[in-house]
Amino acid sequence: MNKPPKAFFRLFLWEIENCLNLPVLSLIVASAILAVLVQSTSITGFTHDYGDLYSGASTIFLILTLVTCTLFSHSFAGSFGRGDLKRMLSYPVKRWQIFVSKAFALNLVIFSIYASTYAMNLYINAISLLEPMFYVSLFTIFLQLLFVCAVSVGISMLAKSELMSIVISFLLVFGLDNAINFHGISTSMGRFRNIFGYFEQITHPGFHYASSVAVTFERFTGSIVFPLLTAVVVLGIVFVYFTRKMEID
Amino acid sequence: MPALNELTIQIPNGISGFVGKNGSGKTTTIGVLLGLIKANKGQASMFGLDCWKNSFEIRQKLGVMHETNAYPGNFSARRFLTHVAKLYGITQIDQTITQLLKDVDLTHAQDKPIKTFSAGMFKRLGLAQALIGNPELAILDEPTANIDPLGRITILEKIKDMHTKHGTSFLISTHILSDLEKICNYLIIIDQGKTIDQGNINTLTEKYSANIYKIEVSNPPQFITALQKTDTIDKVWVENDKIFCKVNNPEMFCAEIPKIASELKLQLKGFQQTLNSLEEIYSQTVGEKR
Repeated sequence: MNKPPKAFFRLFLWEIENCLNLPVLSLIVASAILAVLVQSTSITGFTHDYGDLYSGASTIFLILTLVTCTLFSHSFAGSFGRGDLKRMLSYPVKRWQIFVSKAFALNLVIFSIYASTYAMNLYINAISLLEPMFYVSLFTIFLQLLFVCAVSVGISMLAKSELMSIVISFLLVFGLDNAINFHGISTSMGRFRNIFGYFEQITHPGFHYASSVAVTFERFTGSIVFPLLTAVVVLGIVFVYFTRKMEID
Repeated sequence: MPALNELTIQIPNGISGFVGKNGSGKTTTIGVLLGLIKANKGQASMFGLDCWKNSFEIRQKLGVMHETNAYPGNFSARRFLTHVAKLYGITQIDQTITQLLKDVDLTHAQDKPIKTFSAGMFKRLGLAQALIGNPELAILDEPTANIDPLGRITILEKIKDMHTKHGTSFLISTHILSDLEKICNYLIIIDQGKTIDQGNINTLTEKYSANIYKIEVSNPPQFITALQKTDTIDKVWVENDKIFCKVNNPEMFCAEIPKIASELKLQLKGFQQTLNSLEEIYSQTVGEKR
């Protein structure tokens, strides 16, 4: 019999393979490439300018959020409807292993797709591989991914319906973006602007791609802490519920 | 009303049938045994372990085939079984899977995507994944549902073979009683979350066939009214326009039936002691509860 860490690793690989076998995977990669290319349409040649990393971020966040909501809802809520979860829980695996392997595998696959397609910017805009704003942007994409992951998993556990979960998660995340001040820390672009702008002040003083107004340290930390804290709290609650209380019928 | 209520079932070595009406609690019972559903009152235990708290330990000894065909459609049968085998920590994976695929007649389709499988192949794949860890007990939920008669026969033969070859015990939940009759040696009947009866099939057959008679007459309601006036019957019920009577004095009852029919001027189309089939036992036990 497998020891728990080994069983977890097996499940993790299985989940990765599941993701790579998704019929819509090519569509997801294509949409990520499109999102990066759309942001670079204003570019007519090599600009050597990191500013384009900021200008088209809203398209990436839109598509990233939609893809993340869909994949997490498919994996978590969908597994209730299809009976996958029931089947998985008939094997000698622990509930935490299923939960964590799903979450890890999906985050890894989605982030890998977006990080690699986002890296096209390095070529398109002739940006140096050492450009710090590139890594700041990647970090913000990761934060957004984590935030949407937490919302989608939370809704999945409540709705237990794939379609409902996709719709509710997407509306909730984008509802926040539109209902609240666009520059607030609860919106994806607001957080991106604050994080990008703060680092821009440090690494490229005098440039103001992200914000003409100085970004304060409080806004910067708030933009990191808000999605992180939301993810930790929501995923923590859902994890405890799933592993200790949840009945699967 | 609770889904299950003081349900105690014994699953002996061998092949056991688990029957009950729709909504009687069969799938819920399986869910509780697997630790998928928590008993909100009392305790559910299996192999001497608490089903909710020790579900991981219990599942190490179990193989399960659920009613739904929830298998990863883009995987081949071999790839899917390889993943399952790794979860069970099986060392000789290739050899084990080759043998299992052979046992369930899926060798020819081992490299095809699962989504291209027929209903019968899905069930055989389900059987293979339930048996992969060489479990002490395999729980099969509706293993022959929605498949053609030939497919059903194949599945039943495989179950019987597996029991003979590997000594695996089976608990088969199904509505198709004629299937159980072919392979089971133990039967558990539940209704409304309670055990109605359980035991060796031969014992149950003897118990329920002794004094049950089936009568076919031209006007069942009129005949039943007359029957109820006699002292020879304990219970009477109707199934598909046929009258069933549980009799306390067979000799007197047999003498009275033609007399009643003749007095009422009804045509007595048939009159016989019930057959020793599972369907008869089932309709008596569950019918009594109606």
